Amino acid sequence: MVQLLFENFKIDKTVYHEAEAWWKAFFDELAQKHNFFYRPYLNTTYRNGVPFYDGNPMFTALVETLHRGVHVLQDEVEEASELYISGYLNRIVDFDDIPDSDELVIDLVLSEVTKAIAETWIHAWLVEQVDKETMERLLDEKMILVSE
Amino acid sequence: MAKKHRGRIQAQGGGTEKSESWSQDEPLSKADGLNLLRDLENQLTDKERQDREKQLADAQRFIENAQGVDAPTTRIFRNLKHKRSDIRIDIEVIAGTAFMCVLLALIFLFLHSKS
Repeated sequence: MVQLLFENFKIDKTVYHEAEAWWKAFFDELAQKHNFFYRPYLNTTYRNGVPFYDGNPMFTALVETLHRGVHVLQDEVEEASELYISGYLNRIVDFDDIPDSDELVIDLVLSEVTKAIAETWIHAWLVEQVDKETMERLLDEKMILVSE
Repeated sequence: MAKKHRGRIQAQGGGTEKSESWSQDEPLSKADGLNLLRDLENQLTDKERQDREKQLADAQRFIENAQGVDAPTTRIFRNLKHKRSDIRIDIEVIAGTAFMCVLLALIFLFLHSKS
């Protein structure tokens, strides 16, 4: 059986904040270890400050010097299988306060298995800085999709 | 000069790339946001619409329930049971504010006209 991380994050706000904090700690550590600076680049709240609380997005990280971002969407099992991770590249253009950039969008149900895959993808994208073609191939190789 | 409130709603993935956008001096109202979503839906082929049935419904629910959303915001509506999550509807608020109820938008405009 798959060990899910931050189970019930959509209904338990404490767990939700723990999941957010986990992603922040992950990016903080990666940035410190590889000597780059990142910042979150998309809102996670409504105008009145109330968070979306649905993992869409759970976390975003933009490395301006690379013109590359990572956009994490986290979901729960009622809409997906316990083992689910998908990813694609997207172009961010025309936003105020965000330089035009390429983003790696990762959509996952977080478990030990999918966490390891996400970490590999993020490392390739931000640290190894593989080209887009190579990244697309890595995404295709590791995706675990919901069986129909 | 670029308008203060801008954004787009897009159908993406699986070879589809269709969008509706806004660019205006006042925040986009929920009603206008829903109209843009409907216009986008009308651009889709039957197959594209069928593939995005859940995504369109989720996007509609988001706009209806939103209490105003500021840029930069991206919401990605996908259907995880539909193989790849890049078959999707994206809402991007790229500048300013969107999905305000009409009353709030009027107050916003009034305050801006005073400043």
